[in-house]
Amino acid sequence: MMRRLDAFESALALSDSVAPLNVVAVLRLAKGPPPDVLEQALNRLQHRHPLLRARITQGVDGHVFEPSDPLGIAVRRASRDRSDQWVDEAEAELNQRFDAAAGPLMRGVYVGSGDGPCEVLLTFHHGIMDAASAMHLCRELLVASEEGGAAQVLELLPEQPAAETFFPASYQGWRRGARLAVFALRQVRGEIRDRWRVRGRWHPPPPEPCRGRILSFQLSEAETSGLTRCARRHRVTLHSVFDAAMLLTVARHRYGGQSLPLRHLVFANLRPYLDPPVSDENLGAYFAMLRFSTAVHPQRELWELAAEINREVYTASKRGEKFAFSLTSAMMMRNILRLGSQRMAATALSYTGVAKLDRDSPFPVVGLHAFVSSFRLGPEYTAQVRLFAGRLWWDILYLDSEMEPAEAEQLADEIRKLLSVEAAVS
Amino acid sequence: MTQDVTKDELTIAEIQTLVSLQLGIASVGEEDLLVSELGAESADVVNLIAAVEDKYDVVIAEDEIPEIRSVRDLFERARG
Repeated sequence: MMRRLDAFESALALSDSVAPLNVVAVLRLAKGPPPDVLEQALNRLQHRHPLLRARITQGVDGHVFEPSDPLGIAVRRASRDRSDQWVDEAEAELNQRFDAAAGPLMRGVYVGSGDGPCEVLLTFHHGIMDAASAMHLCRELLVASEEGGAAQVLELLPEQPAAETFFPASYQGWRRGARLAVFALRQVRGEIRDRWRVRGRWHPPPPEPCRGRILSFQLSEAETSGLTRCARRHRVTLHSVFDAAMLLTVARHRYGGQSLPLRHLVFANLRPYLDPPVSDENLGAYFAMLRFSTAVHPQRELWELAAEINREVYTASKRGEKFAFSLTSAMMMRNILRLGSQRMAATALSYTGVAKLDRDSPFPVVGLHAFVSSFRLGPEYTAQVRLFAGRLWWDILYLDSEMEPAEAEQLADEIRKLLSVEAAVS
Repeated sequence: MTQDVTKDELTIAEIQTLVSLQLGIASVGEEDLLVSELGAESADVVNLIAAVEDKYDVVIAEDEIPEIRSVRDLFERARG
């Protein structure tokens, strides 16, 4: 046995047991390594990182990471008939579940035909990977695929304990119970208040079968820097602005302009807050999912809503609720799956900040995308956003049984326009 | 905004005071790490960067922020 999954990893494993919960990172390269070189590099990296050799089994006391059998990371070859062929491949990867009990929990796809541009898709079970480690692995893969990369000796990393082991002292021992009790009371009070105020106006889960569909857009360098300046002037994080733009758009288009509290998921990188901090090179799911409920009036001003979200997230973070959310996430996921009638949220947004990938490497990265699967009880509209090459890259996921592609594109266009207008004002 | 101190006259003690006020921590060391040691949240970092930009008339790009890890990093970036 390697180790037991902690509460948050268990929540991810539970979610994956009813529908795929995959992370798909897409590296768009002007010129890529040959697929066999890529496969060799991935297999060398598998020896370096313990969780790339893992599988997840159901033990007596919960889920357990065990050594994978067989080893080896497969790289599927796909032809590149169109420049956007990768979109079809990414959707297929998002919707194809890993055999978690067998492992390994990673696979790759090479979309290309040799010398020219290509896309490399890396798919992970979310239980072994967060955004920070996925980006780190992408960097390691490009270096290991370079000419001479095979000759480099890669340091083998030790197995890492779960995030909970590194939680601060205030979330260890007897103090953990006291803090969780206060947190649970606050959550129950919020739940009762929301249910009363909403009274059936939230959207029910869509019918099965449902499949995740994706789309992307980018803001220009000028729009990105304008928006950054504006957010700083308003003293709010970029995450809060993006979250506000998404919530406003979803409220206007999908809730008929009603004024009501909407739930939204926010993701926090726990790595720097752990004791000791965990480096990005240690692959794993060292993040937390926080859920907020914010009153959204469709005519509300973007910056006003962003400031409110900023306050909510800041207050919760300062109270240490990212740890409380993490510790109670398996219980929350069990409840959601048991009830089967409540969506987790209307929106989910992950802003991962600056993605540092060397554009001057032998394999210049010209595009970078990331998507995470969702399911019928998950959010209606999900976005992964990052800053890469001076631009903001938005990657969106929706479910085909509740939204037509035209509607999903309309929402994306509205978000982009909302942000562009503010950037121009700055 | 009035500028009491230009960025050339800036001392690390002033940055320590700024960080101390933003985070509500009495004692802030020169080498302290903003997030992992002082517990700064993303919103704290935004406020600190914005305050430094306003006060010392510098512009800090978004992609420079991950490199500003410690109080000293913030001081050095403020000095340009």
